[in-house]
Amino acid sequence: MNDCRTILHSDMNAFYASVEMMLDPRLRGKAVAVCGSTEDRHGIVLAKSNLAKKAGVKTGMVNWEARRLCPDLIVVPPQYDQYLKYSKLDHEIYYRYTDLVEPFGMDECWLDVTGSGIYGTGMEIAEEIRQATKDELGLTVSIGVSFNKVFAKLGSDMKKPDAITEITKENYQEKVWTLPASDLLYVGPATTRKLATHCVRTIGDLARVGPDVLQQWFGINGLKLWRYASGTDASRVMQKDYESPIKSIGHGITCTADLESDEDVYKVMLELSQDVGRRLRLHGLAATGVQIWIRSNDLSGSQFQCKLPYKTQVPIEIAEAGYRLFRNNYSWRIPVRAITIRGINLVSQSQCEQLSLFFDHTKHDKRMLLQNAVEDIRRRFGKRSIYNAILMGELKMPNDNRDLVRMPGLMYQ
Amino acid sequence: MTKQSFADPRKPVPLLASEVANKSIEIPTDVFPSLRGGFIVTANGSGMVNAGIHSGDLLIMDTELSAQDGDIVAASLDGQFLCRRVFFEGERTRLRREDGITPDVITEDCVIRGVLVGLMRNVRETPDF
Repeated sequence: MNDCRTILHSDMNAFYASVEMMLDPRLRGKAVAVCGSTEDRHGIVLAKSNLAKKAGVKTGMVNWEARRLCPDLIVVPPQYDQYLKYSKLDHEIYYRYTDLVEPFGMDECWLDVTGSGIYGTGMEIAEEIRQATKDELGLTVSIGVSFNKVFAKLGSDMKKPDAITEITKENYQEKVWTLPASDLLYVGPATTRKLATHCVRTIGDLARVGPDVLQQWFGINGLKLWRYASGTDASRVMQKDYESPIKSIGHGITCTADLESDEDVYKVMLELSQDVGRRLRLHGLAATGVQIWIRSNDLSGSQFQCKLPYKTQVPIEIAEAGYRLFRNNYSWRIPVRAITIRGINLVSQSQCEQLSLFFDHTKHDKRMLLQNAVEDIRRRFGKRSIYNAILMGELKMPNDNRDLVRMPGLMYQ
Repeated sequence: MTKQSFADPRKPVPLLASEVANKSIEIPTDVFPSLRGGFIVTANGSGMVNAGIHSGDLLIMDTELSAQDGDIVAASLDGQFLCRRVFFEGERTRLRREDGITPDVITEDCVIRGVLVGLMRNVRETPDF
């Protein structure tokens, strides 16, 4: 059981230019720019190859200016359908290891491989992805491996192209805290300026200033900034529901009020587990492990997981395992605000089980029979026709679990 | 030139990570319940004033919706981002500037990047973020 996540951030190097050079071998080893319009002098550089970059060609430059800086420049028009195709093919490689895959634009992606231990460590998975992308797609990626999204993204930026960088709890002060504050995710020009007036220039400075002062300067965003800088950011890698082969099934919620007791937490976990169990059955899968993610109302979060001595689709078993993890690991200094519970390390429901000598399976078998009966009633009379008595009454859960959608601003306009 | 041979021209093509600025805004889903992902772009100029879009408006572009005829979209043309009303005519798209003057542009090279779902405007000051 541990509370440390393994997060990967992958960044496809010089994406448009790399795809063009992979598709047309005559372009390899040359200064190439993908430009909006090749005939019209106003076409803008969308991407450039390494050689073009060395000659001073910059993205956003007008194409005649790029040609002036680099007379040997080969200018090609964009082929968006190809870029989409290779972006999707690249995502297929990620889905071999996890379904917690969150794209950030066409060419970058976060992966949460904490529950993917059967495929290897974070570094091992990163290396397999790097090699597979090269072998299968002819493209290169830079990958950052860390224990949170922010550091993983900073890591992927450090070595380019075709490289892996690990940011660990031992080396982040040396590797991340020395970087300028503006490198931190969502630190835009206005924030950078404001920080500079307080002599905060590096990410380390930001972290050392502390959450209270940052909240004074920036409100709730100040707390988020501090979490990003200190490596305690708990934001999850958001799963794309469709198109991915299932590696884990989970459900999460941000509650309408703080949860303050063990009982509150158990009730929410049991309610969430109803949906997890239902989807496991729907897909003919069973979980051999359970993972929970808890966010406190100060935005700190932790993830814990455990193995089960049997495979299960039964909601109460998933909830009980989650609750045990919670009781054993959460110190309750701060109220809980959001919970996610996942069935992980999935196997087929019909897979033969090796029965453990040390575990009494009769209770588990009885629960399976009970759950079959419950599902049968729900199928005939509706989802809410029968449920555990403890779920009656106030659960502090919203009717749906959407809160806010974060939308980035456009860079070049 | 570029033909969208097997991609659906109505579906927005995602941006590159580098095309997205290092800052963001949170959009409440009680106002935009169907919004799942996208980006914000600042309107520049009066080209869409007849559609109610003013210079400086923050336009909320959804990247998960498919564009329909008559939708206002963010489109890439020659590498520039334009905000236009779009109509699909077979292999080509018609882009209309809503200023009452400019003639429509009909092109095969337009790539949809997002569909407008709403906008935000601060009427007292320009936000710096």
